[in-house]
Amino acid sequence: MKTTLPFRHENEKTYLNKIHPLVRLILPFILVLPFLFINNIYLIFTILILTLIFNLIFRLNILKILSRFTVIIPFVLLITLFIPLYVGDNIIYQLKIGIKINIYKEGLSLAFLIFLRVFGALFVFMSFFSTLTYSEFIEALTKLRIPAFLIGSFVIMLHYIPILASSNKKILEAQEMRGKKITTYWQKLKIHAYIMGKSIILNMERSEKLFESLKMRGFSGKITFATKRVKFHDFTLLTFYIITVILLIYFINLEFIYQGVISLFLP
Amino acid sequence: MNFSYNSGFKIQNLSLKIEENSIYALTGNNGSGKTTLLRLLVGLLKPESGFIKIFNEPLTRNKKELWEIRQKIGFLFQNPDDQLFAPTIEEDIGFGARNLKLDEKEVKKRVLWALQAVNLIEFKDYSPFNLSWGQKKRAALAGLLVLKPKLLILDEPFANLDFNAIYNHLKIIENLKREENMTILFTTHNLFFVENWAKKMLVLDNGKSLYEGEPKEGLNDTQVLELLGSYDKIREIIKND
Repeated sequence: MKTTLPFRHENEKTYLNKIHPLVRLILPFILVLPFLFINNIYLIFTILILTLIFNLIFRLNILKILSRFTVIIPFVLLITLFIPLYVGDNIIYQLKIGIKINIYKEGLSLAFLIFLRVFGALFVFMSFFSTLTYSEFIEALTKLRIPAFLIGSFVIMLHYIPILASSNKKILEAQEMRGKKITTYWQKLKIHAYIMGKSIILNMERSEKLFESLKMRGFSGKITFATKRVKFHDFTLLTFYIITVILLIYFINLEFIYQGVISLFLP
Repeated sequence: MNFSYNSGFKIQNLSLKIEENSIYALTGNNGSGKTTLLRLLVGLLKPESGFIKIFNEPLTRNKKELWEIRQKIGFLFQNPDDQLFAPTIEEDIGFGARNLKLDEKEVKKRVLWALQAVNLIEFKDYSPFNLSWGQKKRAALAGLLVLKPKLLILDEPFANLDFNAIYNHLKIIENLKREENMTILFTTHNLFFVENWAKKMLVLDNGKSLYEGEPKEGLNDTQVLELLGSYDKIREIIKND
């Protein structure tokens, strides 16, 4: 089994793998930041369509990308569901279920905008990050000149997650073998908290040893894995997206285009 | 050389000389100071008095000079989980080579060689956490081999390994010793390796040297035998039961 980041599709080779990790890390920010700050629903749609086309060109599995964040969608829906009930002045519908509940026009469009923003941001990030491996992610952070101590801490943190998890499991099993009965959720939580505390102390000693072993192999504060060069096609892709986003924000009247397209289908 | 921990444990008046291209065993009971001595030898701990020379160069505290000396040393930790940290075996093995500032081609060449030397080529993309203990030990060893060390320091290299894993591990180390003319210093509780593999041995008793010399002679010494014990005592308990 390969090491994967939570957003990565395991063992999936796509054309996107050929793009430099730094570009794969920067691109979603270039696409997402404008629509997070500009209140333009057409911009979000356009960027979503652009990402969709990108996914098709780079042969990414769209269903898999969507499956990575479907868990979050109900929470977003829950948050946005109540906005139309208290934001706005113009009532578009009135629910009568014992009491009168107003649904406001402004609230509805705000809820739709928030939902679309979250969905759009998740879709764009998951699409571009779907091929990033753990080491590529670290390489991209290094290229972005993120301080070495932060990257080092991130690497060591990731190193200890499975160790902590497995030692927790072993301690729990050993306690169960010695008659500890875990019946309620509260008991389970209490035991986990106790074990976690103990494991952290144990692993602090371990991290000291890890640091020593890294020092023995020349560690000087900077962790380097295999590095790739930024090639011409990476630069081209990045430039293409930057220009596209600038055009979409400043030069193209998206509202006019969308209304034109809609009028073609809805006379 | 002298050294002491805050807990009170001391390494006292210890003196040893390891010849190049030889195999040297360090043995003693748990807590006798074997690992502490190894950590002193590689500069992870600083002696309170005395000196350490590696390949005739004094072990300094200067970071740059220390790294130059450490490039000649491969230190295998007792627990491979203390050493393996990278997302994949291949990247972990390449870590030391990249710190040598070698070009990527040379790094890849050395990584491939090390992977082949420890028979882990098919596991190169695996996470260290998905390997068995024996495989982890081999991966940790490969991580040192890329440095092309002249001195290989192995802390309990055969602990927790089954017979086949010991056989494979030993075969790899023996081949490397022959091909790369490495000097080997190892700690162990297993007197079989002390007797049959090492050319010289040091027995530590509570931070002090009890015996230094030929293993065959040492293992006939009554004081050494008393300290290290023998299976005869265990046999007695089994018989009595």
